[in-house]
Amino acid sequence: MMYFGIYSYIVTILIFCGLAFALYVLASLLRKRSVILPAVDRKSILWTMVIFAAIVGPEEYVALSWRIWIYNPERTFDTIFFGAEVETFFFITLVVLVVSLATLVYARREDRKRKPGLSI
Amino acid sequence: MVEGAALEKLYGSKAHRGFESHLFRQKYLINQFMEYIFWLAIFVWLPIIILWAMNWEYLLKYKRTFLYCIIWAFIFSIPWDIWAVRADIWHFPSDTNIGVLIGGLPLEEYFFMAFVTILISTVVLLLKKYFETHTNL
Repeated sequence: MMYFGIYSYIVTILIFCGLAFALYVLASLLRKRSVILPAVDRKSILWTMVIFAAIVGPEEYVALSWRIWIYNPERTFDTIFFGAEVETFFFITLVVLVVSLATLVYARREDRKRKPGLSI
Repeated sequence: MVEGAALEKLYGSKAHRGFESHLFRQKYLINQFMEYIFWLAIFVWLPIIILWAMNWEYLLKYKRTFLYCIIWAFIFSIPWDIWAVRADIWHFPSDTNIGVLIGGLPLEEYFFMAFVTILISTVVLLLKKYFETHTNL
C-alpha cells in the first residue's frame, strides 16, 4: 500500500477522478462526435458543481458529527472548512465534473437515438 | 459537557463528535447502527424522491444513462474506497452502520456510491432541460 502522508486523500482524488477524466478525453479523441458536448452543457455542469460544493459542507458536518466516517488526521490536511475537510470540496467538484460529463454524454446519445436527425 | 470535554482531552476532537452522536441518538431515539442509513435518507434519498416526483416523466427517458453512470461509479469508486480504507485515509466506525461489510466497506457505502451518482445525474439532467428551454442556441 502506497502512503502519501497528509496528501493521501488528495492523491486518491487526483488518481481516480483523473483516470475518469482521462477516459473522457481519450473517448473524445477517438469518437469525437458522440462525446463532444454543446456549450449549453458546460453551463449545466458548472451549476451542478456550484450546487454540490454549496451543500457538501453541511452534509459532511453531519456525517462527521454522527461518526459515519472518520478521517485520519495523518492522511489528510485535517483542516475543517465550512463543516467539511478541505479536500472534500476538491473531491465533490471533481466527482461532479466526471459524473456530469458521463451523464450528459449518455443522455445526448439517448437523445440522438430518439431523434436521429439531431445535430448534438 | 464535562464528559465531552474529558473525552476530547483523552482522544482529541473526533471523540467529542462521538459524544455528540451519542447525545443525538438519545434525543431522537435513533437505533444504534442506523446513522449512515439516516444520513442517506436525509441528504441523498429525500432530494432524489422530491426531484423525481416532480420530473419523473422527463428523467425516466434517461434510464439507460442512469444505469451506465452507476456502473461507471462502481468501477471507479469501489477500488478507490477500498484503497482509502486500507491506507487508513478514512474509516467507518462499526457502531454507525448496520455492520454488513462487502470488501471491507459497509453496505451503506455502496448505496452512497449508487445514489449520490443518481442525485448528481438527476441535477445535471434537470439543469440540461432548464438551459435548453431557457437558452436560445
